[in-house]
Parts: sequence; C-alpha cells; structure tokens
Amino acid sequence: MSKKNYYYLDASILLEENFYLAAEELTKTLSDLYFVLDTGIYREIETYRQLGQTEEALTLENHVNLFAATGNALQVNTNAGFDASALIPLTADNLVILTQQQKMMENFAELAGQATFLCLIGGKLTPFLHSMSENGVAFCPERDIYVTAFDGDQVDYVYSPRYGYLRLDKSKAYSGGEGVCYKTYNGLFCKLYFKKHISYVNYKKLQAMVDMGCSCPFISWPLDILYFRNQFVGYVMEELADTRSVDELRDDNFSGFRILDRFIIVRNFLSLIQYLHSKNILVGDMKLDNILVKSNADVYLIDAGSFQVGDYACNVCHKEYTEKIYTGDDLKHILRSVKEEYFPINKIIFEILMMKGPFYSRDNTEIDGDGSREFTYPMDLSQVDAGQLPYHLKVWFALSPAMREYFYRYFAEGKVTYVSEWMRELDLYILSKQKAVSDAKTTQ
Amino acid sequence: MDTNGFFNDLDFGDFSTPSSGSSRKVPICLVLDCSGSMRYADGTKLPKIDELNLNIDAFLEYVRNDPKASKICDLCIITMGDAVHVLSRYTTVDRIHLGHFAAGGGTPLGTAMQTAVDLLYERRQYYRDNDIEHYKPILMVMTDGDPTDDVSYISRQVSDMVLNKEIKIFPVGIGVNFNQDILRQFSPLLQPKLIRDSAAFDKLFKLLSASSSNPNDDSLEKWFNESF
Repeated sequence: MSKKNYYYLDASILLEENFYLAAEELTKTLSDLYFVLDTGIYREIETYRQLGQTEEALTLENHVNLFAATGNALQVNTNAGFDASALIPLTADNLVILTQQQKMMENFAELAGQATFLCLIGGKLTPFLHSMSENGVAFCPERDIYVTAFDGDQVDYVYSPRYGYLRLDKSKAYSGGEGVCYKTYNGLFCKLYFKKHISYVNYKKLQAMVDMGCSCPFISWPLDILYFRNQFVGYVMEELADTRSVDELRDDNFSGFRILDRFIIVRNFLSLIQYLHSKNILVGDMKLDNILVKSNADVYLIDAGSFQVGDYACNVCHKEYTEKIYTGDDLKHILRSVKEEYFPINKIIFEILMMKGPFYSRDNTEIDGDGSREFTYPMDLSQVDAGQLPYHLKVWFALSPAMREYFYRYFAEGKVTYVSEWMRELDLYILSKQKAVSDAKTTQ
Repeated sequence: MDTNGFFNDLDFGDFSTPSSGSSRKVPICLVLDCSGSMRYADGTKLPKIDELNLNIDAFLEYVRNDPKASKICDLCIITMGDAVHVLSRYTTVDRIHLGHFAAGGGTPLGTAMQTAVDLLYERRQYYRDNDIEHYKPILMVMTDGDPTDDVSYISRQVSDMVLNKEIKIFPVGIGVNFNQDILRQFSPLLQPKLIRDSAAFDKLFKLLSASSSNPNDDSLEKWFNESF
C-alpha cells in the first residue's frame, strides 16, 4: 500500500503570495494528499483582526475555509508551533512541514529525520538552506599588518574625515569591554578602542557600517571612522543625552516608569532587534547596559561597533547573556547564530518585565550560577500561594498566557518565538491594557 | 485556577512596583591581615599596613562614587591581628565608616576565615528571605605571613565551597618572602597572587573596584591567572 502524503501548513506559509500556486501543483502531482492545518491559525486570525491587520486575517480565513471545503484537510494542535507530538503519528507516512519559519526546524526538533521541512522561495518549494543554529566563519586575517595598534585612550583629540578635528572631553570616560568613550564639545560621542581592539578587522567592519548607514534613529550607528595621527583609533556617533541604561533602571526598580511602560520599552527594544535582524545584523553582545532609555517611546541600542555585521564577528561576550561561552579566539573566528541571539533577547525581555532573572528562585538566588540555568517559574497559580506572591511573580501572572508560554518554551525547552511574534503579543497586551484604563476612566 | 481573573485590575493598580530593595547585589568579603608584621615594608614603598589603608580608602571611595557599585556592592570587612574583628557586616558602602587599620598581634587566619564563611551563609539566607538576586560571592583574603591558629578544617570547607561553585576566592600574599602553601589550601582553582610592590597593590584594588561595579568583568580573575 502506498504511503499517504501529509503536508503540514502553518500561518506563515498560507500568507505567502505564491502559496496558492504551489498548493495547486501539489494537488495535481500527488495522490493521497492531505493538508494538515495547525489549529493555532485560528488564534493568528483573531490576533491579526484585533491588531487591525485585516488583509492577513482574511487571507488566512479564506485558506482555512477553502481547505475545509476540499475535504482532504486535517487539523492538529501543535500548541502554536511548539509541540510536534500530534504530528508524530503522521511520520509513518510521508510528512512534509511547509513553513516560512526557520525556527520550526528547532521547535519541531523531534521530527528531525522523520519529516521534510520545506519553504517557498520564488514560488518553488525548497528545503531550508540554513538552520537558525548554524555558526558561520568570520573574516579574520591571520596577521594584523594593516593597522598600528596603540592605546587609544591616551589621546586628547581625534580626526574624522567627515567632522574634522574633534577635541575630547576627558573629564568623564565611559569604559567598556573594547574601549573608552568620550564626549566631544559639539554633541558627538567618540569610542576609542583599547590597543588589542585596534585591528584591521574592526577597521574594515566600521568602514562597512559607515558606508551602509542606518535609517533607524534609535540605533547609535557609527557615523565616521576616527584617526589619531593617521592611525585608525575608533569611531564617532551621536551623543545620546538624558538617557539611562536599562541595567541602571533595573537596579532602581524602573523608578519613574509605570509597569505598562516596561512592556512598551520591551516592545520598542524588540523593534530595534527586528530592524537589525532584517539586515542580517546580530547585536552579539546584547545586555542591559547596551539599551538606553529616555522615555518608554525612546529606546536606544548602543555599542553598534561590536555588532556582528555580515561576516565581521562580534568580539565581545558576557557570560551572563550568552548561551555559549566563547573564549577570546573563538570570538574572532566564529559568527554567532541567530538562535544564540535569542538567549539574550528572551533574558532581557524577562528581566525588564519581572525585574528578576529567568533562573531565579527562592533556592537559587545567584545570578547565572554555574550550571543552574533551570527555569522554575510556575505556569499555574495553583502551584503557588497566591496570597503571598512576591513582586516578580505578581508580574509573571499578570503576563498574557501566551507570553508565559513563550518564556517557558524558550527557557525550559529551547524553543524559539520570533521577535515579530513577541511584538504582536506585546501589541495586543498593551492595547488591551490601555483600553481597559481608558474604559475605566470613561465609566468614572 | 483562573489566572486572568486574579488580576482583574487591568492598570496593575492592585500591586505597585517596590521603590527600592530588590536590586541585585555583589557580595564581597575582604579578610585582611593586620598582624604585627604588616608594620614593615616588604617590597612596597610604604609599610604594608599603610599600603593597605591607602588602597582600602581608594577602593571605598571608588565604590562610593560609582553609581552602580554604590548600589550593588554588598561589602563585608574582617580584620585579623590581636583578634578577629568584623569591621563591617555585609552592607552598602555608604554605611561603612572605617578608621585606619593598625598593625599588631598574630594572624588568626582560621578564625577569620570561619567568621567570613559564617557571615556569608547568613547573608545568603538573608538574600533568600528577601528575594534578592546576587552574583557569586567574592572572598578576598590578604595575608603576609603564616597563620597563628589552625586552618586545616576551614581551608577544606572553603576549598569545597570553591569547587562547589558557591564562592570565588581571591587569595593574596603580601610581601617578597611570602609562603604560598597556606593560601593554596583555601584556593583549589586560583593560585595565590603575590603583591610585592605598591603598583601591584594599586592594581589589585583597581580590579576589585571594577568587579564591584561590573560583576561580569573578569579582569581580576584573568590577572590572578597571569604568571608572575
């Protein structure tokens, strides 16, 4: 008896422009073909509708109705793409996962080797070329012969081809892992590298970034390269006045901000990450210190010079915010994977909202204690004494169930929720809170 | 239980963010030798006790003035000499007011380290009881001579704590003729660092300052790992 052909479809593939043609082609060429729809699509339709994205909602709804009418459609519940167990019985036949989301190979890892993962590229169903967890090889010449390394923090003035000579205000230094930053007297901010970071690779990366430019005003992008006596020494960016780092705000319990502001700050932070990821740029050294906040609407990313851009690596790593520990040499040679970036993304979202780390518990108060990255936040109020909840658990239970699920799936199971999905969920949540407050005011 | 119903007050009005008290902490315990032998210079420009006083002053000044360190550094200071004195239990630096240390007496290292361990356990319990997150505790012990009491039990205990990743210990030997073997018993991972001149004293406390404001900064550990 010939095997049946099960084609699993998620919302991402249904929203692809040419999906219809590909589905028609499959119907013509395959016998015993069944389309397997994820029940999560109904929630997606509702979300799009609530956010006012009616085109997406209608497209999905039409597809679902059409498949239902053909009679060869099944429905499975994968818990919003996190749990493949409902699909496992189908692997006895041919199971193909059709999705535009690379993360499905990670989130449905239990299907590896038993199902085929395909996406639509140029109207054709194609296997994924890369996985989210692939590390690349960084541009890293053996010898650094093109630049002269010297201690950049020793100079009083620098030269920028674009801005001319810049005198540094040395009264206050802002030290980081790669160098020291100083204000200039004309509203600019100069980063001067430590000797070991004055390298040909950094010079080339910054040159590429300056040429590339950045249209997002909330990313402190390198504006020009800095020289001292014709030697490369760092880069210049705009000064961000009146801001505080999220790290500082966290230690100050985000004083001056409402709880809802923290959700808005997270939303705006994620929009910056989405912008960078869409340009194949990873932040790399993502941590609370590198996010500055002026107001809940003005959230900035700094230290762009350390970003992973194309095949230029990010040379900095902080154990607390990395999934893998890189030593000095690895940092130079290895390009981080997109999946790795999701560790700091999830941790930062968690820390801004709960003001505690994701691995914190009464029995584990140590931050990033070795080997104790165990996620023990309760998923249900019945697991705790609801009358005695500490602050972080009150916020935890005030999250939407989907947000708690995203955190649980990531920290307990390593399954990814895309930045865009996080943003949609946050938008829904913020909207609902704002509406509730405005309704309450109206009734008063 | 219906979690959505529990927090019906949608503007979060049923719970407010605490204004203080939940910030993260970096517990640092300094066990300092103030025995009689610290009266003498030994490779240093000044008598060792004066070098210690100068550098402790500078360290406290740094922590006091650094916006982050002043909030997160939870400092405990223990001296050993005539007796073991707890000059400051774990607290923020704005509450620490020290006079200068005077040198005199022996080196009751065993008692001093036992006190440090007891206070650390007490503090850890305090963190747990008050929902306070903390980085791995740092225990820096500085001595210039052989102990005048028994260290066999406490050195094993501290060594086990290091191996169990409960604490980080930074053992420091002061002076040119220091015998490292004793401090090695406490520190199974890091070799004792020998402080043989004023510049090294200065560097040690600068790196400790950096750790107090940025617990992710591992330059102190790297410096201890450098050969000398």
